Amino acid sequence: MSTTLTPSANAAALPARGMSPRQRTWRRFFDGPVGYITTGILALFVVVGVFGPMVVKYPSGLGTSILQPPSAQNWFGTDGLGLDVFAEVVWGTRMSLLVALFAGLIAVTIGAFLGIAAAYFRRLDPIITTLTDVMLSLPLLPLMIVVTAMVGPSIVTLTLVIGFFSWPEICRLIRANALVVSALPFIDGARAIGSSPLRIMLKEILPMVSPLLVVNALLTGARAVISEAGLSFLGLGDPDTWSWGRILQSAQRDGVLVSAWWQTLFPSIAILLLVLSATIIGMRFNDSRTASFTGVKP
Amino acid sequence: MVNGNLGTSFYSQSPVTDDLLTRLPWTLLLAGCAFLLTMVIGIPLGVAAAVKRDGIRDQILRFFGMAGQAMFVPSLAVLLLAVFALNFGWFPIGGAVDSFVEGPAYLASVVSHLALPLLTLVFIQIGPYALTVRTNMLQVLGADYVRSARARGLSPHAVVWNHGLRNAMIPAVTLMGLQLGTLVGGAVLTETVFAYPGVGSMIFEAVGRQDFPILQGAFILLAVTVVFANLVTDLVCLAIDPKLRTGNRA
Repeated sequence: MSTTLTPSANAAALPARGMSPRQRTWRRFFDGPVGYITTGILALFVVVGVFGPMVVKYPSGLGTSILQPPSAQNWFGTDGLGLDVFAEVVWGTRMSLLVALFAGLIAVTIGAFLGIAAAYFRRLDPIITTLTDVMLSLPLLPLMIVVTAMVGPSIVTLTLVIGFFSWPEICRLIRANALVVSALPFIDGARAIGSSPLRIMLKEILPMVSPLLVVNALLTGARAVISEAGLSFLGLGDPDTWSWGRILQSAQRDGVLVSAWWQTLFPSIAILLLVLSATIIGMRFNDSRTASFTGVKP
Repeated sequence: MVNGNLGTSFYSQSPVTDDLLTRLPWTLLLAGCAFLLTMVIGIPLGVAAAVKRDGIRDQILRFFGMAGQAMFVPSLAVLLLAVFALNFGWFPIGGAVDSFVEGPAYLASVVSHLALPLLTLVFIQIGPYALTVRTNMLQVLGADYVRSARARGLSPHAVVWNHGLRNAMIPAVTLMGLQLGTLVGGAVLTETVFAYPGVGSMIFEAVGRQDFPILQGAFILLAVTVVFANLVTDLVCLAIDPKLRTGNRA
């Protein structure tokens, strides 16, 4: 299991001469089937999310055949309103990916900015660290529920709420790394030649921690998919768009979560696959780029 | 609000505090049992994985760690419901207790209703938790005092459980406090699927009824509970770690 999740030993034995570090990272990343499989799954979701809705008709209105199991006509069966579950999953893919992308972007932007600011301005550090700790210890899902319910459910609300409540973990990680970076001599050098603090933060520290940001954007996006599904499942999704959580919620509302298993199974598999592959890609990318990685287990 | 008055529910027209407090014991029972069970199973699991690194137990643990993070709580809950409640019929499909039972039968009924929601929560929590225990344990086992304990000729068993675990316990307990937020979030979703009459399913009902005072009150109640439980874990840490007891006063 472990050898399949992280690049295997022979990756380090590959001829490293004449390769840039970036090439080496990707070479290690795509060593073995796991790199291809997870990237393939993620790419498949992106393709389905982008092009699927152009091919598949938007499921709306009322159908005649309700709660039918999967057949040649309805690949994933039909729901309590007679709508095609396959079409719902395809449209839900677009929605889930959009929320993951934008919520991830918001969270990474806030987290990175606050993290670097905390590391660079020592006076801000206690404030930001305390805020992060408070956010981390609060029960996030109930908090998101309250805010979403008050503002009124829509895609925009969901994205903003998930994004604004997902930054603390990134902030803590980036702060820890930026603390190391801001103690390096070239930061003093930049200050000596009169760079503004903002310039130092964005042009000197940010590039040094950006690989971590890529990894965390993936992990945060994956968590955003789960948060979105959770909120939609509780009835706080956008009532005008399909999402994976909303398919489950309509099954829950009809009381057929278990009996109409196709309505539960397919969105669940979609969530599991997307989150799992994004998580593995993130971890694998992180392992591949570690300079000290020699293929021998730590 | 300071007096504990959280307003009146739009739906039931009764004080929010009363409504929530009738539900809270069930959530405390569910989340509390999940909390304890995760620690009681997770810590030995993490230790066992750390002792024989890359052994079969270690690999199973890593698989569960991954699956626990990626699993959507309602999906898992429905899966367990379908297999153990409907297919095998071992457990009831929802609720917290049967009506009209007393004495030992009442207790048995509570336990059998608790089993599946509890299993769901523990499954989600245990993998990531045990993995962190494993990482801590690996660090501790590499420390100098463990090497000198080995050099003094102590049995491997004594080294791992007395010298290693005692030191790996402290971050493990602290971490459990930090996971409480996730645990409560998971409890909300689990209770909804199993129609378990706790605060979580009350949140679900309140969302459907647009009952804002209940939502707000439930969040405040859960947040206070989590903060309080964090305080308790900190006190437990103080009890098991002599370093903390003197460190701050010096």
